Amino acid sequence: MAELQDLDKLEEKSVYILREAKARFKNLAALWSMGKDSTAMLAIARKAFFGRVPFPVIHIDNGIDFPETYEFRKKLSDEWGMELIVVKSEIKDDLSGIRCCGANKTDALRKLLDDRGFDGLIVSIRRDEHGIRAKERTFSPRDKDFKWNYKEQPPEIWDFTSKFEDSSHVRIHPILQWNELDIWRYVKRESIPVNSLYFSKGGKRYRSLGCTQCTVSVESKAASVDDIIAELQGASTAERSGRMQDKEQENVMQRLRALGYM
Amino acid sequence: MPNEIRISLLGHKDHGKSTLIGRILHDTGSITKDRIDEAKGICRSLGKEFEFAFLLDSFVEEREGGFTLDTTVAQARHGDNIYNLIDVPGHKELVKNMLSGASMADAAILIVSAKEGEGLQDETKLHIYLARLLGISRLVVAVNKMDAAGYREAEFRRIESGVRALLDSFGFRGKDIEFIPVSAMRGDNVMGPSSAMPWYRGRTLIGHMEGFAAGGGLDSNLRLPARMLVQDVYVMNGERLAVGRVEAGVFKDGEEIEILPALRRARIDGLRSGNGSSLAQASAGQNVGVLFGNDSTVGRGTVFAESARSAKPSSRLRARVFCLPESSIGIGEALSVICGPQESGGKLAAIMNTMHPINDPEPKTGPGIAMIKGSEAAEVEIELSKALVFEPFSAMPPLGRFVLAKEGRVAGVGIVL
Repeated sequence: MAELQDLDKLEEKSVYILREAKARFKNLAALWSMGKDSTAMLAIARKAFFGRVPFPVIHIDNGIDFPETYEFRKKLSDEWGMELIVVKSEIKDDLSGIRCCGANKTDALRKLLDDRGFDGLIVSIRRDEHGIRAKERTFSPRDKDFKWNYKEQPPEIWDFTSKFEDSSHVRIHPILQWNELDIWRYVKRESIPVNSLYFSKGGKRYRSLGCTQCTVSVESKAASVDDIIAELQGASTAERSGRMQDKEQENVMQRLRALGYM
Repeated sequence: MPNEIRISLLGHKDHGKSTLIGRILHDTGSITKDRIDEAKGICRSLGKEFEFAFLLDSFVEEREGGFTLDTTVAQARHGDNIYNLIDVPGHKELVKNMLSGASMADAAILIVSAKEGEGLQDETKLHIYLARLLGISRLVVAVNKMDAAGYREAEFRRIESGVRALLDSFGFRGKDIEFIPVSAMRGDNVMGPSSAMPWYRGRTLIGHMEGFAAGGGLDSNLRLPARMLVQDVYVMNGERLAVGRVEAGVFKDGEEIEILPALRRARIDGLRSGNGSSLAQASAGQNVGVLFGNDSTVGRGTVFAESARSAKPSSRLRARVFCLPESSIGIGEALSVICGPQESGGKLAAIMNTMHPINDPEPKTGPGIAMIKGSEAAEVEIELSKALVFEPFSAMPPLGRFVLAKEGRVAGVGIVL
């Protein structure tokens, strides 16, 4: 499973995309789940913008994330001087059947974007996570109803991306082409702080982080970044196998994403 | 570090592009077992036999309809190489999605089905034409579904001669392009030689892909004269820093550059990397911050060029364009001409000839052509409302290609002649 992509090339692509986003959108923000991907993206942004993160970072908080996640949020946002926006999302039945982080999170996000008028939202999804995410463009508009019109995605030809005049906001995906192992190699190379839940305690660790309700830990002895890299090089299961919203049988991910989920 | 290469699949719908990528992912062990099991489960629930294409086609519509709606990229690793395999839809109506994938490619695999009644089709022609327009010169042809053609050499040769002639007519050197008989479904000649086709003694598909990877990716721009397109200007500690990606060649600290389209000269006062450190030089593919002496004309869309071999700004260009199926472009209509961060209003001043790659054996010339219709290519003169920096695509790819937009929507793509 282990593809060793050139981290320099990946970083260059992501820097280019982040600077395009900054130049083209009036009011930019990023989603930050405190997971490794969005944290690595912010580390890249600090390079793109010479040491600072020039846009607010948003945590959609359903109140039941792990204590370690809240600690990490406080520590890193202080250390990197980031403007943190916390939005509370509700926990209740929704159409996805996932009470904690399905459509409820999307609703909270939608309200925030309306209130603050963000026109560009940086989201740290990766192609290798899920077949549906693999179909995404780097710059992906969401319509007035917040929906992803995946049947009519605007063309991206060479470096060209459309202007999206009739969208509510545009999702920007700067790390779409990275894979799970690349992220961990980059975390190591750049000494990026990560949530302690990724490391093994009592024979288990979290490989993909959601909230306490929909995330399942995996058997692992990996207690350091090096251990995780070694473990992934021999992995035979997909990263998000512990995440409920990824189950294919009911096309949950496609329905969620069409409605504006991350 | 392994070699990385981006290879686009091309060809008519249902000739097996997604299936071949799925086969390669599977046979190189580049996809996890649980993903494969999941795809098998979905096939069962739809009452279908397992298809490798389901590893790529993830939308409900794609799975139920058995076609690719939009482009995707899947990564396969084999030996020392990383292959970014770009799947594209075959349907001619979906050509904007095809271009979104294929425009990233360093090389391509054209698939033509050998099954009776399939063979050389409309989208085969269209994709060959567009590959040529996009400047994809490294191409191999996989003649697929050989299992359905009884693994007969005669069927293979028949397809080969038809496609070779077409390649020639669209400007490829047909005789230099190799053909491989394969079955994506069964795996013949994909990773290893096929016992069902002892008459074929050429390389397997993975052998060809290794050849592409050995030839490298887009680093070839390194040997061209230095060019950078400015994305933005940041103010840092009171100094103006132009940021952008070096598109070609190498810029060195302290050297003189030309600022275009303003046609001014400046000295590079410093090159900065993302962590703020000074660089002695910045090469093609690198993002860099340039201290340039605060010339007030510098902003998004400015081009930096090495002085010795300067590019020239121009408000008129001769180009070959392709009009998207859902659009049309008439003489005099208001357009936007966009090349990276460079953009200007513009219009077609003249149409020298048009050609429908599917229907026309050769270009239709003559005065009096007033419009490029959907799915037609044309040689044109474009007039810009302000001067931009363009160079012939064959000499400087990053400054030789552009997108045409009409009323905010993409209407076509073009290359500078």
